[in-house]
Amino acid sequence: MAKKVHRYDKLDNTAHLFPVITGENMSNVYRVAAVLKDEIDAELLQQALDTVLPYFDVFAVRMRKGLFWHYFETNHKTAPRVTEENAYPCRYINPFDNHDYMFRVTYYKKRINLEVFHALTDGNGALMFLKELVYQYLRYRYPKLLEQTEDRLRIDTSLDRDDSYLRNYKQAAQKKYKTEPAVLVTGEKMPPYQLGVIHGRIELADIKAAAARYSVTINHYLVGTFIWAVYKCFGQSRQGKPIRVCVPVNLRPYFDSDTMKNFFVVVSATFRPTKASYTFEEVLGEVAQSLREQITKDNLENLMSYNVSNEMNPWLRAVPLAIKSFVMRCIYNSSARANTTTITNLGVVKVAEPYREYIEEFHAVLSTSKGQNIKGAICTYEDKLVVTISSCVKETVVQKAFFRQLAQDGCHVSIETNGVYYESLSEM
Amino acid sequence: MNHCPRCKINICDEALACPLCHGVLQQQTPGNQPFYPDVQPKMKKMVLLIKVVIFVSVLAEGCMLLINYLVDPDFKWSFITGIALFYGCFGLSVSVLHNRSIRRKIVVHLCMGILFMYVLDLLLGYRGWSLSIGAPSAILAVQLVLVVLVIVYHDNWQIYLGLQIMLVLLSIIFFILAITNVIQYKILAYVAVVVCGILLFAMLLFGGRTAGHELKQRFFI
Repeated sequence: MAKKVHRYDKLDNTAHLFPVITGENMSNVYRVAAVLKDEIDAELLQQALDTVLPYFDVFAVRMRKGLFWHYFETNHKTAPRVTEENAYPCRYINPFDNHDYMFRVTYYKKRINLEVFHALTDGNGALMFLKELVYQYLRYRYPKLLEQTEDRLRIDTSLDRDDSYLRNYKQAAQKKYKTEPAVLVTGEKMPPYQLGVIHGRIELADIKAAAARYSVTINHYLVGTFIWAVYKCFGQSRQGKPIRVCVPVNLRPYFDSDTMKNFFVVVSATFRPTKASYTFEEVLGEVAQSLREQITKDNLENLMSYNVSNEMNPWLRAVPLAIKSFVMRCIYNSSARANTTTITNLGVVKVAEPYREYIEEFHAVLSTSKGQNIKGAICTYEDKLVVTISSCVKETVVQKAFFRQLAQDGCHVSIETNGVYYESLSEM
Repeated sequence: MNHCPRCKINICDEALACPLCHGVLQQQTPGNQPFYPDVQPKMKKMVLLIKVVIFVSVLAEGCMLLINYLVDPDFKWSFITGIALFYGCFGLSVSVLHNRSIRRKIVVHLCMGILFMYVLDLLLGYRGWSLSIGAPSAILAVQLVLVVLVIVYHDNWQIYLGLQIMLVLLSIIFFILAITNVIQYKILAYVAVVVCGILLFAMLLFGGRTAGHELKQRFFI
């Protein structure tokens, strides 16, 4: 029997925060999902996972605690069991219930869900793993695909585990995290562990036309519309407080990286009302300007370098993990109210040619976090853009304002929920 | 597919009202398949059981306090039962409720056990048996458990190296208490430090590179 090799790996810079702040009430788990055209065969999906997982070292790990840092170690246990979805999305992943793995694969009808603890990787990395899982599943399900494609990983898949943060950072000037309170989306909270999800499906052509009308990009348009929705519902009553949206930016194109680990920074799209009322165009203009100023290579490099410089500080490195964790939690808690929400855009998901006819859609769901009771995720596949808004607040005023604005701008919107908002209705 | 004329959007859910504005929907095409399962909150039976145990324990201790006060107010034996019940409930909750590693549970039980024995010793007039016999015995018991775990999980034995180091450090503390005469009955403290030390040495010697890597990662700065 071959001896099992135990490889160790450090957490990337972003990943250090997640084990410290994660718990049952704040899972830091996100979901990426593929909706196929046929119902899922659970056994074949399990087989596909068993086949694909060993290739992805980033996923085939378990987390351990050292005296100074968390770290990853190769996980030799069998892959997690694929189960039918029977809980709310983005629930806390308990490694002890999951063969020590920090991701889970579930399915429901035609949908395959991959839920990932954020310490492993970001949306880009998760999508790469999900695509290979789906490809392998489809090859098992439709053997005729083997006539058109090889039974192996695609050549555009990366298995790189480089810590691109460390490779690309430079000495940075000191900078403080924002702690000025932002407008928060509040309301009656759902019971613990419950998450409300609304998927909004829009034709890509409609969104492009709407964004072009305002001379902004699709991302600017959607983030601006979301801020407009929050401003309409909460901003006018909370004069002086900014509405700040965290927008994760994928750093791979800027630094020529193919890493499967986390490699992103978060910029803040800020809208600060300084007069009594604003029009949609004014809000959109300010937001687009805020994003344009921040999403430049220099600024992204500075943001990344600031985060990494804390990790490289020899005095901070020598602090025991228990104290580091406590301090990180305090810093996180103090800045948690400085952000209204997070909107992430996973971009256009490209699927290899032979598999396209079997796949209907991709979408992503984010779990809520402290201070951010509502979050959005955008994903595009073929000619369909899906905006998924997840929330732990029963009221849907922000979602209403958001989708109504899209409809007003000429977008044909279809929404689908996970049923939570109908339970809220029946309680009224 | 239903349509909301107020929001001007289509709703794919099988529903009477719009989830956004709560207005009644226009039905266009019937029979939408639900996209998500109907999630029923699962009652955690174990949580309920633990709560029952805690409730019964609090009631029992209340009764014992009363009986103690009425029958024998000079000797407060009900404090002993109280601490025992507290330790029992806490231990049960740690072992059953919290999904943590075996190692974490062992450490918690060891520390709580030593603390419990020490408090008991104090309540019974402090004769020092908790530190001279109880604590070293607990360390040796945990050492035995650790040896069994290393044998059973021999593929991944190195994850217990940290726990072994902790046992050695703990046994050194009691060894120091022994040589400074805080502990009167010293044999067990000496035995504990020798046994733990030898087993740690064996782990490092026979563990070789695996042990080295484990220590390197554990103590990586």
